Amino acid sequence: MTAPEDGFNETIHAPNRLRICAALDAVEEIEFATIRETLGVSPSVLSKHVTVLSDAGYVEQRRAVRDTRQRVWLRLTKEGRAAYRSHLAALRAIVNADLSEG
Amino acid sequence: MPSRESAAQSLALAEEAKAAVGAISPGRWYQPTLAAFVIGIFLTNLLPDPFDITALGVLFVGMMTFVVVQVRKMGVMHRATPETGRQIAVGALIGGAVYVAALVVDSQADMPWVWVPAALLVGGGILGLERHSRTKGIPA
Repeated sequence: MTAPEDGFNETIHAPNRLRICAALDAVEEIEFATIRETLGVSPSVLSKHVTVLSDAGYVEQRRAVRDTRQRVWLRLTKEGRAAYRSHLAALRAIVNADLSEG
Repeated sequence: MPSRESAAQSLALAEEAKAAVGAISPGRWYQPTLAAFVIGIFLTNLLPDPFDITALGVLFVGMMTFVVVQVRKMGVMHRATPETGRQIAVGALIGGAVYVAALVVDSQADMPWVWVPAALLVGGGILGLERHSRTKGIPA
């Protein structure tokens, strides 16, 4: 059995970044404005967290034009998906470990 | 390391975000319009030559454009799960089989009216699938 700390990721664990990763893990690709509306965060907050995740190599951004305006599409990288899933597994291990101890 | 409560809260946050994104769907008129395009494609076979092939081309290009525009407007490209892929493959297979069967009946038995029930069958199937997806909460 893996120890909970094995996949725990401080970068992903921040609540907003965890929600962003969860949303991105559920889709192939999503537009910046769509994820912002869905998660109910401001553009600046989303932008800040996406930058952190991009710098860590977990999220990649693609620019595309729609209705003559440039839109940013976000997706999890392969490393990002693996890191997020390991983090989820670590969280589950923490919950289950405490359950079995209790 | 977070406590058990904190870890459970984080898991709940992740599930909530995943469900919210999963629920994004193209809108109520997407599937009916798609069904109308497919019905139109079937019914082009009732038109005289060469209008049939022209109408078929126009409708096919129109349908593909509509799908691409809707996905872009929606702002999300859902992941194709194996189940979704299977459903699309089976749907395309049934639609293709109905088309070929109608084509054979039309040319062999000279029964062009067969395109009407064939079109309604496939169009109705698309709408039925939509209703099923909405009932189950699966994004279309």
